[in-house]
Amino acid sequence: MNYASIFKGRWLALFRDITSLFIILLAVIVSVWIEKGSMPDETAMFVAVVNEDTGELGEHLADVLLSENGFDLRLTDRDEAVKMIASNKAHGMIVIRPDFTEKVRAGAYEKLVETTIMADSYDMNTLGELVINDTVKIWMEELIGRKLGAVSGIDEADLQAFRENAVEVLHGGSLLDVNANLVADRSDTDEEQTFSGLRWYAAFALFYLMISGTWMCAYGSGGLLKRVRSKGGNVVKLFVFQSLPGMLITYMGLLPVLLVSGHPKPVQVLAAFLLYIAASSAMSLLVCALAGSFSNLVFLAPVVTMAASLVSGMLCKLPDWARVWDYVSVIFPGHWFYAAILQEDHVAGALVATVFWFLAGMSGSLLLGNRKK
Amino acid sequence: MSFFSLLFYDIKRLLGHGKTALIAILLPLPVVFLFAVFLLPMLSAGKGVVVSCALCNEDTNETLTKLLDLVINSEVEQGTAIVYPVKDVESGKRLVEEGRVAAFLHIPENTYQDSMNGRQVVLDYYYSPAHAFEALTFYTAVKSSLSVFGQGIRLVYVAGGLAMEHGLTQEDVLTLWREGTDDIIRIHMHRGKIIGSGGVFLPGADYHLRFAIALLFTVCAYFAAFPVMYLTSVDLTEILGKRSMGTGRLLGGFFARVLSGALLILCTFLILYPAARAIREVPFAFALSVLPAVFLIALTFSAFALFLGSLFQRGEGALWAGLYAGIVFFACVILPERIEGLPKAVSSVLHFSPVRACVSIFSNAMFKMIPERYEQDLLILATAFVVFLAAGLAAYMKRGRAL
Repeated sequence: MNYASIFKGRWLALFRDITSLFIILLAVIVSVWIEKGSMPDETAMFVAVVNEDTGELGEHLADVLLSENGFDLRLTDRDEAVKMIASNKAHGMIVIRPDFTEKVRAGAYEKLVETTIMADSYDMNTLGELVINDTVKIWMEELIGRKLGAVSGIDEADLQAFRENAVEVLHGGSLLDVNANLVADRSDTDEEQTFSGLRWYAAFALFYLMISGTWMCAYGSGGLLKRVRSKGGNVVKLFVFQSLPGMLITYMGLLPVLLVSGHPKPVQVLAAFLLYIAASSAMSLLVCALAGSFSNLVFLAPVVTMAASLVSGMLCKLPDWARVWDYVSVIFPGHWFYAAILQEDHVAGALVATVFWFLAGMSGSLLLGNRKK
Repeated sequence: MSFFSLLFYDIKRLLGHGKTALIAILLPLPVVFLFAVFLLPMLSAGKGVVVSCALCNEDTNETLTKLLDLVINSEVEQGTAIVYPVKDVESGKRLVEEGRVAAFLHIPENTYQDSMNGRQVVLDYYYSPAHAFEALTFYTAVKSSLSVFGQGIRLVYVAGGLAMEHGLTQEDVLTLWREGTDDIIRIHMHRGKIIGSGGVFLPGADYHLRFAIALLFTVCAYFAAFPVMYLTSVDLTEILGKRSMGTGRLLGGFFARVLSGALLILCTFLILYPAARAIREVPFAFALSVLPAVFLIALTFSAFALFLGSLFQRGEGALWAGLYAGIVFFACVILPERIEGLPKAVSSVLHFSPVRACVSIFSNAMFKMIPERYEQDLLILATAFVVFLAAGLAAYMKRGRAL
């Protein structure tokens, strides 16, 4: 068998297959984007404020809410607010209930405000906190003011002075503050050194190797292996030469991501990625042989990529409570590539994983092939 | 052959097509497993964000201890926090370092007395990068509520000062101070009730979880449409290519495929609902309320799959198109809030995508129904269904007649 022409044929086929090639292009773009600074900040979310209270405290709360930063809060009526929520223009609605003033003056606090928050928008968690805090401020000011007003000798001028002081207090600092301190795990590096873009690219590379591997589906069908053997060919060599073009393409895709990442040891990463894609190709062989056709592969490839990448910590750093997955993931090539990125020992483990997946891929496809003979 | 016989055979063909349909139906299981194992503990343990927190209270003040007990018991009952008392700062920091707790809060000596005497107190909150998501969410809530609590105490002082200036006896000022402080403690202990929820910190805030469940439902439903894409393309090329069919049979085949495809997608929902119920205790009545939408979603995705399947000669081509269309559809869900300065026309188109409507229905209507929004989402889906159905029918008939 002419393995050089097999290599050349596969290489040309991959470059002609624009649909799968676009995956690796997309992977490079997304990974560079992640590496350069992740997702952009969100735009200020529009939230409708409806004041159904006719009393002065409802108006006061509406003013306080409208002066808040972080959300784009706008005063409107209920019908308009519902319309805006329905048409996806508003991400939430805050309704100051009709009995707001009455309840606050009576010292009640239950169901003073109604919040409707659209969960199909990101990061709306803090809106509820904002509404509660602003309402508490109004409530405290009113109740303490009323208690003060009940003291004999206190006149309207004193109450006005209290209100002015209250504005200063509520807009100023607090007596109680909390400082957040990041405690770095002894074994951890900080966020800048986790190289998210490199990790995500490696996960995309695994997906690309699988989804562009329809030719590997034939390894599990039996016919191909039979023909190769009958012509005196070597199945292992055939797989190596057929998989090389895909590996080369993913390897080339790594270069811009690595360049942007500014990793201190790029040569080490390049060498580790070589082992990673070798093991990933062998893993893809097993998955493709099991899938048998592209119609099955299109389901299996995303799920297997997601599982292997999540367990290896490629998509997000494994939390400490998930330490068990850290041990389980030693069989996945991603575990060792991640170690290489963090400049930890990885070569022996990566070699073992590569050999394991190579043996699993070859024996799996041979077994499936024999079964379907 | 009657339409119902055609439909019956098509269902048998679609569901009996080797492994593909089975994989499509069972696909949610590993995805739900991964979601439950990796994302769920970060997002919630039921109803909201859950935080395991170590607490070192060096202040021996009895009132503060009682106050802390009340807050801790309330949060533990709500299921939003698990609290581990520790003896000293070092032990707390070590627990954070070892990843055994998400955060550690240190209350220094004389916190209560100092704050009551008008002196500023700063508490230290420690967290690790591994638990940054839940720890920082909780931190935002703790910081803002404590800050407002501190402002309340200052207000009481201002009032007490004014009262003293008017010759109020020390005893009366103390009464005013005590009553005011009690009020502040009372409202902070029940601050969630202001918006009709329970708990002290982050009441009812599980929007991330609702969004994640909705995305999970939508992704799985979308993937379940892939066998329809593939088989439609293959059927038009291989089966219809071998024998000609009249317009009536072609029409019957098309609509039978739309319905059998929708049935396949509905099978996915049957698996997903128990998962959602286990994850977030979605009440059965809520799930029933979105039932009309579920049928429409299944029909819309099925019609879209038929449209793509009819466009491509090769099954693989249709699947690739489905994959890329999926990327675009899901980008429509995430990007409009993330990218500032999008042209209005582009932003509007992104907002009216059927996948976005689907996510909106599962994340909103299934938890809190706003009829107007629900109707709008249904309208988007119905419009998308009609458009995909018409485009799919045109492409299907064109290819069917040309063969």
